[in-house]
Amino acid sequence: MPSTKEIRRRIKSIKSTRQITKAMEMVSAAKMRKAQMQTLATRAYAKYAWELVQNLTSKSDPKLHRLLRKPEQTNRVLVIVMSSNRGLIGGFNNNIVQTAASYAKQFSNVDFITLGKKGRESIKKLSLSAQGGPASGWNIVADFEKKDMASGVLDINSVAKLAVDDFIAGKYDKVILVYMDFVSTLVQKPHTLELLPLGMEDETLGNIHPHPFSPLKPTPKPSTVPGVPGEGEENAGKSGIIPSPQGGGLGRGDYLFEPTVDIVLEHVLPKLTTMQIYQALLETNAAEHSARMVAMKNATDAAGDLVSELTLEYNQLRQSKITTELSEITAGRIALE
Amino acid sequence: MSEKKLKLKIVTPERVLLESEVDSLSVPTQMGEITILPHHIPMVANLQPGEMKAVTDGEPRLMAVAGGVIEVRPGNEIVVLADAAEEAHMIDLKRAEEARGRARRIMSEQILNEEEYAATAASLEKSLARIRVAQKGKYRKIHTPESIQ
Repeated sequence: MPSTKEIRRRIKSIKSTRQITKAMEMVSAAKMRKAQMQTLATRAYAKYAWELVQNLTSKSDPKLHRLLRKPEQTNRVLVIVMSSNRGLIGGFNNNIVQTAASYAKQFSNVDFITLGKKGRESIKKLSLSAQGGPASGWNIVADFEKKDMASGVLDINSVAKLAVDDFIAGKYDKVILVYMDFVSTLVQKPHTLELLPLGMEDETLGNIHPHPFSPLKPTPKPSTVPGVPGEGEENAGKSGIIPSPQGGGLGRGDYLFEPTVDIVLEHVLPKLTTMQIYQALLETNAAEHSARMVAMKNATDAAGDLVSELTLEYNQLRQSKITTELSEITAGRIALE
Repeated sequence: MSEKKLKLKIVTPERVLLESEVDSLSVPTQMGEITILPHHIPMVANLQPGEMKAVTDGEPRLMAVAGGVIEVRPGNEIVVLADAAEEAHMIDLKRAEEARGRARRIMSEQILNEEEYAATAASLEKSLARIRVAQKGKYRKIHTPESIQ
């Protein structure tokens, strides 16, 4: 049986821990609010940008731009992993790394670009400890500093440039983005997004947006998914659109490009790619702060429970001690008489 | 002309600037200013810094745009993906003037490499567009029929 003194000590220590987690919860809550606002504000842009990519890729020839070119074989893959810098966040980083790892296992040659300290460390550990296993061919080619709060698209310009340039140079056949999708304060889902070549028919790509409280109603999929004869094409047929003469080599396209296809694609595609990475960063940030806030709230609550349990135990112990003492004194008195 | 209107959406990375039905939209593209009316064929064009004008029932709305892309979709839908855009009354003229001054000074005083020069020239162009739009917006505010009444 522990002494009352020991229980008192434990209560004190738990209370001070609770203070810390409470403070961290409040800090995360403030950061979370800002990160969530940022994320929701950019979602509209990212959504329309993505729809534009889909429309362009479904209507233009993949040969027109190197970012659209689909490789025949997928050998070398670049995986961009976004994680947090700090822990105390539940299974957040673990989930991301697991998702990235299970994807990367399909390929023999995988290079990683990491944003965030925790992801970098886990992947390094995985590749070092894998002797001959699937992870032995993994490399971290670049690591970028991730700020707690994104300050603008400039933050990821260098990441995007590296990915786009290497892809264009033919160094990679595929560029994958692994990030945490912010669904709500309580729910975050790790996602793999096939970033390059653009216009991959990937389910997860459209999933950046369809959140219940998103300011945007998710658009009906058929109109944006390439290959599916959707509304858009029907309408185009009805209004009798003539394939544009300036469309040049665009056999199946009926988009008019100004000034020319090459210039427009050259201007648009890298930018839209950058925006996708930026949106993923924002989603990850919002998810990180939400997850940390929830984890800290749980910790605070658990500490509160523990304190009340220990207090009960302490009081019982104290009471029984007093009772014993009293009966001892009374017994002593009786013996004296 | 039919009753058809254009469903216009102007989005920037920061927010949705405008989402409404308009009769026409004039935008500065790389090829010069174009005006889009209903039943325009699907088109994608690069935007340049300049002024954007959306007209609804004869009422123009002026906006400054700092470049981006315009996509005209089938079904009279227009999406403007702007790098940055502002409505005339939201522009802080003093700040825009300062930005212009700064860009001019940098261009005249410092020796820049090609990339820096292009960036500064772009920012000069952007601030010029903002100033132009802001001034026009001011003029309109004084002289619109509502304000006279």
